[in-house]
Amino acid sequence: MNQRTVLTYLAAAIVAVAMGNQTASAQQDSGTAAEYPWSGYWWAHEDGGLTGPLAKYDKVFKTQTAAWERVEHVNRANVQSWFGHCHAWSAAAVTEKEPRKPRTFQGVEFGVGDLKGLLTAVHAQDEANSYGDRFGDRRGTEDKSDLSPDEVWRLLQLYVKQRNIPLIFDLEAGDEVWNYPVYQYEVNYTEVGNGVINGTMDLVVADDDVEPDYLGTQPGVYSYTFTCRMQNGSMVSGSGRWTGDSVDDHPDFAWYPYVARAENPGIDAVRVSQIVGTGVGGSDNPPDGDDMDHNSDDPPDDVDVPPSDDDTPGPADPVDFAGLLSPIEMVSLIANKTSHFGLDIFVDRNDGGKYRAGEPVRVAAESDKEGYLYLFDIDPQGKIHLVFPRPGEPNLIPANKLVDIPARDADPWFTAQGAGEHHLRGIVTTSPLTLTGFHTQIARKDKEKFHRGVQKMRVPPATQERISKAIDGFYGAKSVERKPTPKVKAFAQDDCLFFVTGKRSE
Amino acid sequence: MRSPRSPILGHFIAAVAISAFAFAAMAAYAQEDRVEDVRAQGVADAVAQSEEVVAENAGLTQPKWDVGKTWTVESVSQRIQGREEAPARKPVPIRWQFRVAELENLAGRDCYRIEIECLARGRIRPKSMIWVDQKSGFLRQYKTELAVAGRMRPMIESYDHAKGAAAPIVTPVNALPIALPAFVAPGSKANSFVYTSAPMPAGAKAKDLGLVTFAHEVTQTATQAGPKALEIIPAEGRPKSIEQNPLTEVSIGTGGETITQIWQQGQPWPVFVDNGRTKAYLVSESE
Repeated sequence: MNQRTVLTYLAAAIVAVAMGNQTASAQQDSGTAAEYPWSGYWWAHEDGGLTGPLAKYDKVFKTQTAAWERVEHVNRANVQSWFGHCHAWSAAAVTEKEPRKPRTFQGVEFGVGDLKGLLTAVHAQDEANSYGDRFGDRRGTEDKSDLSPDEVWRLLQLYVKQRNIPLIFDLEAGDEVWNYPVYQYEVNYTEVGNGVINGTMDLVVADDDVEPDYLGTQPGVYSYTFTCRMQNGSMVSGSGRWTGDSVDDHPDFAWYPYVARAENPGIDAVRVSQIVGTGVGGSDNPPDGDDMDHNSDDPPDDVDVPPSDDDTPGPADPVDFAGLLSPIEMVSLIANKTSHFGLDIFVDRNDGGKYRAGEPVRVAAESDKEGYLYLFDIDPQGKIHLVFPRPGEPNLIPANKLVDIPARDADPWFTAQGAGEHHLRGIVTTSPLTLTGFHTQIARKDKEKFHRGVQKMRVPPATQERISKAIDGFYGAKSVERKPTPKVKAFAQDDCLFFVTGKRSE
Repeated sequence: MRSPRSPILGHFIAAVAISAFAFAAMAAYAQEDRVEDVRAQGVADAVAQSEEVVAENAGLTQPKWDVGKTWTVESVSQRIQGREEAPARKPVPIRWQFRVAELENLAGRDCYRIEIECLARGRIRPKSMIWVDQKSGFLRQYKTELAVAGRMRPMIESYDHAKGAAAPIVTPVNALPIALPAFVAPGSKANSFVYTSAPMPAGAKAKDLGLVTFAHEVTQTATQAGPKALEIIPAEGRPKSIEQNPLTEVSIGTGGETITQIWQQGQPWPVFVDNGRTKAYLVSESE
């Protein structure tokens, strides 16, 4: 036998051993809550907070809760754009049944949004079991990374996997607090040797950027990368570290409501449950009458909370991750030059065309393959806006046919906004995507300035920073490409430049 | 003249030899892993019996719990969602009533089952239980309940420790301070411990349920506490007669967090606890 043959056999054996090891190391852990938390509006303070629902509550019970809300939240000095009741909505969304129909109580009509708002008010000061120190409150360790990824994973196992209970996370690593209930997770990890594992963590959350009357759960997805260490078959607590972009963009703290408390002194949970028509805070049944002594320090006798039992419902149908993209994954499609087939995108004034602020922009697209078209406007600040499809709009386009967006006889909704250089990025995929992180609820003060139909991205600041870095890197001098997410198998893309001159039209 | 060797036989022998070599290498790599595991276990054991003493250990006696004994604890938690710009609202305390319900066999160990009732106003008032090893005072399991979509749902976590080293346990339920220290003899040099947690009842196997267990390193120091220690306890919760019933200050550290407990001899529960988010003190006890 010659040397070449021996080396061939040796190489084959080494490959077999390596493949065996690789296959054994790649693992996945996932969990889904039994019920999805319901999406609801986060009641931004600069948008009036909870004054709408509270005014109706006051009408019934002759209280001053809306006035309190105005004084304590809405009319305070230096209200920032992120101030709101996302914590209270999160607590209500996980602990309470979703109100699904409007109700009339003592002659006052309460819409679904009003009912959700009142449930939010009941939970505005809940006692909670919390994990990790909140960064930016000038208390505690002020360590941005104190909630290590292995601790996040442990908590997800404890709550979501083992008991099918969602867990609320502040997903902003910096000073601001952006609370979302996580109801599904997936951790993919590989042991790379010496007990070290590298992993990715995807969290599916109920989004709060919806109209107050929204029904159901609008999903959001956030993705992170990490490393940690195993010893004797267990993850070593505290050994985890966020890696890559996740060093600056990761969950800050986690919590679950334990004892319900309203912040507004005029809000009474019994009265809210009478309006909502269901028990509040762990009870299926609304109380009879309103004879509770609200001023007593003694616990009420009429606690109609059914006892817990061990027959925990199993997980709900998990959200299919396959087409569900986090904002970072979506950006990975934009920030690269990969194209598996041909696509051409045009604006009506051609590549490099100029528009005055407020002028309509008409788009045309032609793809070599049938697929699902997505159009993004990347503005001079690097912010991404979803131009097409609008919510609920079909976006399947045929192969080899020029398609107008909008149709020639339809009114355009996409107008030139923001002076400077814009990139219109078109992507066609062979299977549909669910894009998350886009703004379906537009704050009142923006409604006039932003054309209906185009969706802005609304994500925590650290995630936005990560996105901006990727966009700047790609469109900058060095044209740094990102590796496209493996969730999208085949896609095509094209870019079209246009300029907006003058101020944004009022 | 020698007859020529069969080339096929030669290839076969070579393939077997090389494969044997490859498998031997794989086995040796795995053996190295196992050796590393044993080394790691040895390290854990050594840590548990560490000769490096941070402070002279005052020791901590396990409380005497009789079935039927009750006591009340009051807790106050920080508002994690509060902002400086928002008006300062004094956190509202919550009272919890503890009762030693019975001695129960849990996964082969006799444990006190202690039931805890939330006495707060409001409609979510979780009921909780802890199981504490009768001999060692080790917290083997806790169970509490959370409101989920209109109903109360149970949550459970169980704990285990290396042989001979009952560890302090820090549970995820930090609004209700039920962390328990290791009850160690005075002068004990053990101040570092390792325990594992799993989100399942004691006695179940994590792998069978598709769960991953987590190993926690915890440190503990126990020192005699003088009258100065009382200053951190709210006036209404300060224990009396510390001359006859001395105080021990216990500090439990894990994952960057520190839990401070002050135990008084003869009391069923720490007279004061601060876990960084929640402060609690013993209000009353009864036989």
